[in-house]
Amino acid sequence: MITIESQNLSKSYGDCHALTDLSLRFESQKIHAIVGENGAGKSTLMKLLFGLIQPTSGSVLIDGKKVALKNSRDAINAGIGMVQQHFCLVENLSAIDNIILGTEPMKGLRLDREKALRELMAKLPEESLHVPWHQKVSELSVGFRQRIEILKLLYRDSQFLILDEPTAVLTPQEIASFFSLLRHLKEMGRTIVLITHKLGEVFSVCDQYHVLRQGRFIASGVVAETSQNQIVKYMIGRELVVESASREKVNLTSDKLLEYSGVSTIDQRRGQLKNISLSISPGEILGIAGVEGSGQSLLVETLLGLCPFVGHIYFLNSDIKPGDSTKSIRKMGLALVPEDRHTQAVWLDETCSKNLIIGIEEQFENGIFFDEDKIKKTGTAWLKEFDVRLTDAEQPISSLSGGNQQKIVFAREILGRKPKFIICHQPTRGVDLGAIEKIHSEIVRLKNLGVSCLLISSELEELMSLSDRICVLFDGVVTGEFQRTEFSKNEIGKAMTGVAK
Amino acid sequence: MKRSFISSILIYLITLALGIFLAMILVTIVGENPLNVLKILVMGSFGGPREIAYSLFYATPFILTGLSVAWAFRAGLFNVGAEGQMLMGGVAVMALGILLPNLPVPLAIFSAFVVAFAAGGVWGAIAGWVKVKRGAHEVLVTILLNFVAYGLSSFFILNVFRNPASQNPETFEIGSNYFLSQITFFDPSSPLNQMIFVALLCAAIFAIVFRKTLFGFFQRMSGAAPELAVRSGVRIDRQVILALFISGGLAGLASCGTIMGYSHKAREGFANGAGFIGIAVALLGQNRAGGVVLSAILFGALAKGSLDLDLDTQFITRDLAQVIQACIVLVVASKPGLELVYKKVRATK
Repeated sequence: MITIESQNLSKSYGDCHALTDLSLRFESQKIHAIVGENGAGKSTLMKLLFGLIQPTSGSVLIDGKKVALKNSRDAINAGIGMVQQHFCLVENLSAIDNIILGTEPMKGLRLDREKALRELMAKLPEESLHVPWHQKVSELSVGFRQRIEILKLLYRDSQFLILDEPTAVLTPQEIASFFSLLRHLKEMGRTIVLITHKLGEVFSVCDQYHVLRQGRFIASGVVAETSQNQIVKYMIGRELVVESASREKVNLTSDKLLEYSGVSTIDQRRGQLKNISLSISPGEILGIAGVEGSGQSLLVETLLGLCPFVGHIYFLNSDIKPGDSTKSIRKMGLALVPEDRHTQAVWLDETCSKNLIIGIEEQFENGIFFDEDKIKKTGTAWLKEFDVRLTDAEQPISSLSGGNQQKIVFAREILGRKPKFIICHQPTRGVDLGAIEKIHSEIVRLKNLGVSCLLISSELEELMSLSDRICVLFDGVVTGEFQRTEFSKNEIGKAMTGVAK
Repeated sequence: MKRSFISSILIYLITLALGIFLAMILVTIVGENPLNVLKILVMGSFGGPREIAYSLFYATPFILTGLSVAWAFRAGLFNVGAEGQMLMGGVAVMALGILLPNLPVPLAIFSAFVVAFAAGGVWGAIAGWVKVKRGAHEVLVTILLNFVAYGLSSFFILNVFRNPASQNPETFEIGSNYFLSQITFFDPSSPLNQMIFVALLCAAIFAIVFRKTLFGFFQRMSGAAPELAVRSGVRIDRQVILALFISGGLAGLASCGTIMGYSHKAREGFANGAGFIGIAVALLGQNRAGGVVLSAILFGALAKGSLDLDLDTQFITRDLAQVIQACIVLVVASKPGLELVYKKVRATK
């Protein structure tokens, strides 16, 4: 059992102060939540505690003694373990091999997997151990992968576990069992730090909360003694104005703006769609729920003409064929906010102003050259409309926060394309609360203008607050369809695990 | 903008200095005085107008092969086939010059450039096509196509257009309308010819394309952000084939300086490694037009200066040029490692 403290911890990169004078105390045998918006310094703090970066000033104390964590090995030896937001598993090794990787027990020249398993079993009760030990990680579900990451830490006897956004990829049911694992670990004397932006989780599993804002400590306390509104206030420094975005009732006509009819994908290596039929009316927001990898990406790629399929997709009355030019499909009025912002939505090394015109370059063409003046003028106007404050539009977009990057994507897709239909795939992932507000109200505003939206998200709250209708995907099949009046977290969650309604 | 310009010049100079330093250590080990060797290299390449003219003559194909490799790099592709593409370009020019010797002057030269570019380009585009259709890596395909080009060019030079009256493995002369005139500014007898202006023009176009045009933007995007590019409607397949066509075309043009400006015929093995030097040139020049021109001139100077080593030193030969090139490439390749060391040193301070 260890207690970790940070004392006047600061970290700056040049003029940028990622963390200023932070003093925090993580009491042992508790589940702590670190909350704060993007850029509040949560990740910096965790990297400092895990020895991945060195503080500019201040120190880390373990059980009251100052320690210097020069690298992650020091941290592991001190009993600290961390699960990164993106899993660090070797896909083509088995679960058990991933766990012992780096500290393999040997019997002569052979790996002693049995010994490793026995050691693990001793550390955990039977019921939380239904892991297919000898199966390759690439064949395991996200929930199991998450579990393997944690077992990795337990195998190394970590007493202090840092988990960075661990539930982002889990279904409600998986989250529930994940939380019971955390509680169990707590009872066994472990200290857990959960970095999260989902306040619901703070209240369902955590004992204490610590709020950071702009690199400074704002508040700590016992979860049971506070309210969600109070924490939000700490996080953003003001009350969150939730305009329950006035949705105009759309008279759903029988017109279909987009229709999938019996669509199946052919290449099955990247998951598949199996006989999908869906339709969206003008002005409708259709939510797609489902565990990641259930075919959401393929739904988008087939429509873009990027993925071969059989069946029919009608978009604005024309029949989309696999291999059709993506450009001409998008020109019909299709805006896209893709899933993976860093590779699919923005060009990280390019400037903000160039990122604003990707896909709509022809509007800024002057002969074969870019019309730099027009780019500048339009860019300034667009950035202003989406409230992106920049010192210089010529700075690379990678220097912006996730929220501002996403606002730039939305500005480009909405103002640049004037769409009839918008696909929002995980539109608020890794985005701060202020930007989420803006993005959600923008989607509703578009709906009121008669623009339809395909909203794909792993956040059920988001889907339920925005959608007119939710379809649930599981393994390439639609396993449930819910009208707005019949939304229920439990029922949708069930459909996400493949139980048909 | 300004800051990045200065820093890239700095990087250039540091890389160069480290590479030469490394080579000089080797020279010392072999038993030569490194200062003496450096002096021979400098005097032999920039010591007088004649030396300068020769250095620039050697640099001309390097500029074009350097641009060739750099173009592919900018589009996210590694073209190792500049050598083969240059050979194919040269064979095409030679064939045109021998088969149609009497084309009128401006047309002759213009069509020679077009043909050289097209032949090299097609050779590059094949690699692009195979990559797009079958997913074969362009490095592999371009390397293999080099060997095909060696064979094909030897066949055309030795079996089809061979001049039987010559004792050398070379072809007939091309028509005189194809000749590029000499530049006599430095030295009336040097082989330096107008091709260097064509090379510099290509460098200028290269810079403008990547800095100002949509086409350059698409080329870079399909290399740097392919997932984004396909979703925004760019046809990456076409961009890849086009990038390797242009890359190959630039390498094809590299053959014109010698064939049209100096020897007036094609000799077996006339590319002489220029395609591979282009890789080093592009690396050292950080894939920018200006950097490529500077590096090409440096490598040209090295090629010229090292000739004197055969006579003026006891233990080393002109092959030292290749050793220095290798050292520079080594330093460029270890740049990430060097940066890490630099950061560590700064952090401990």
